[in-house]
Amino acid sequence: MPRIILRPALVTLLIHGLLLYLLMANWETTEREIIRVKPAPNVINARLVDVSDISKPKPAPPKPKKAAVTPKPKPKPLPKVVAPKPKPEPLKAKPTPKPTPKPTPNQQSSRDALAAIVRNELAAVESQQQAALTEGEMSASFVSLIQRTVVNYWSRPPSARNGMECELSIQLIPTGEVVSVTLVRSSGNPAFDSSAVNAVQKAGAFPELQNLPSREFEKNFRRLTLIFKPEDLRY
Amino acid sequence: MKRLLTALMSVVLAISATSAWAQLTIEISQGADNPTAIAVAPFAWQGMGAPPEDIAFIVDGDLARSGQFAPIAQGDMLGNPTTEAEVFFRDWRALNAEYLLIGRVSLEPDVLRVDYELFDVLRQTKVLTGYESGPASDARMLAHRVADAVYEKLTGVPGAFATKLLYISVDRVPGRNDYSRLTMSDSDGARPIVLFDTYEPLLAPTWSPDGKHIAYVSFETGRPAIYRQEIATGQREQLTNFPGLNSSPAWSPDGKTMAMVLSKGGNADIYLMDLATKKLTQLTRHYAIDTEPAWMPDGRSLLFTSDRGGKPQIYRYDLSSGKTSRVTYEGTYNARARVSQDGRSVVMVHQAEGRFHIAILDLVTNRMQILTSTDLDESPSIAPNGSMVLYATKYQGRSILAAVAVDGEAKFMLPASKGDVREPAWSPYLPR
Repeated sequence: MPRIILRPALVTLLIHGLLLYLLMANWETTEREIIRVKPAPNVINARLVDVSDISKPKPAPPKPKKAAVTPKPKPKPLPKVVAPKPKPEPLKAKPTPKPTPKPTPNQQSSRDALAAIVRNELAAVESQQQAALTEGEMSASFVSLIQRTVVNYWSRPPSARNGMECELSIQLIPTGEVVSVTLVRSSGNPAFDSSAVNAVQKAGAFPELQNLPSREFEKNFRRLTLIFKPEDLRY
Repeated sequence: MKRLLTALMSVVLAISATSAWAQLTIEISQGADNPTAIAVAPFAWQGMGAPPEDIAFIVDGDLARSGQFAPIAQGDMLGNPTTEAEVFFRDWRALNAEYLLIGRVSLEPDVLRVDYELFDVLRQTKVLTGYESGPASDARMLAHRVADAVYEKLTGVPGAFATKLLYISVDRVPGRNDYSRLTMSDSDGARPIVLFDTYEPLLAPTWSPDGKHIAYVSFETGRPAIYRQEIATGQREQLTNFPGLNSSPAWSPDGKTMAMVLSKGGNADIYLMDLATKKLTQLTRHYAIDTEPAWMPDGRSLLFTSDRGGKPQIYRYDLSSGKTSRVTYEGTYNARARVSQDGRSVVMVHQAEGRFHIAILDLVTNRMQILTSTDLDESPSIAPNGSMVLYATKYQGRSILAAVAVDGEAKFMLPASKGDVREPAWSPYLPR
């Protein structure tokens, strides 16, 4: 074959092969990127800080009811859930029987001043971070936003157990609205599966996603996989 | 040629890198666990005169008390559908209802029939259809069964609304002994029926596993004795008459044996009585007080309270090995254990900071959680589905019954007309 034909023929073949490959490969999920955002990224954390808390005095250590109570060592320390008692804990300092003095008006005003400073600093840090947001960071913060929203709407049935797992596929449109929710993998407990689907349905939309560049939206957010896997239940 | 190929290859790589659709996966590992919003629309009445009971009202109340549901007030409803054709999901979505229950009640001669349909408002589908029927006098029980079906469909746990409570009510009578009644009511405290009454103390009522018999301690002869009574006929049988203590009867899960506390040996110990032959077997032999036996659901071991370690704590007696092991270590006082049907959780009276609370112990993780915030809480009894704990407490100087969800989130008080109410016992699931 003459070289003049061979070269373009090879190139054409390669281009066609490449196109074919792209067509075949790209429409299937080949790789899955699991994002577990806990704790939430700094960007989000900074915005969430409730500055009014800073002005509040720290909670005083639990005041022992009777000063004479001598804490007895327990035969076998079990994980304590409720009712903090004045008992010796190896790591923590024993709460002083004296209550911490209440803040005087003077102290209070200096606290307010401090709070104002902290607030300003936070705002500065926040705007800096916002300016420096890379696409990846932005995605991560939107993932965290979706996650927190769904968590707030998820009410697990009493039959739910830690370790149960179901998987939903959800579709969004650029306004942030959820247009479809599909159960892809069941936990085996229909009430649990329903609670997961309902959490997304109740959330309904994530309007903040409108702020996402459309390229980023198309790339990562048009179709999402949600895995519901409780870890905070009693058992 | 070579240069061309490398250029092409780098294009391939660049394209595949940017366009490789790595689908984002988000894991949700926590939840807020708010109660599920459900609308129970008033049921249609298809019969003469007035309906015997407001079925929707009873179902609504049952679901609300469980703490798992937040029913929507009837006054807020935008419509009153009683058939599927009348359901407009938009109306219910506007109220943020997740589920909608509608129904119809009809009375054919002597048979009351309740038809119901449950809809998922968010997904706009019907998720449950069913009916209950029975004598009109049993209308409340039919309503509780509808609530059970809805509860099971939406939570994955059988409902325990169509069950009964047993408790002792005591009235002060001037110039006489207190008037004690053994009372049985619906699980919501309604329809109290007196099964036995006396001017001597009554104690420790308990259920047989089939829910057809009860046992209790009565002082009617002047000293304590254990009695068994058939609920349907009222027929009674005195099981014990030993000197000293005769207390805390507890039926074995197979219904053939009764554990009890006797002090005929000079000291309170746990015994088993074969109910067919009345033959006694002594289980514990200890100079300390052993009392309040409770069977594990598999019938292979019993929990009991003992002060053998100085302070009352819960111990476990294994029937095959005859060995005793200590169960509770947390706190200076743990007593009167009752075990959930799955054998995983134990509820008990737990003393913390000088106050008596109801606590729940997870036998697998050994986590103890205090459920109640009141003081002087006593006699916990767990629902057959393990969801709620009924107990006695003090309120405005009176003894009353209260219930708390095992996650500690929902609490409610049972209505009591007058006098003191004590020692509640939640029935097992009842035969239809």
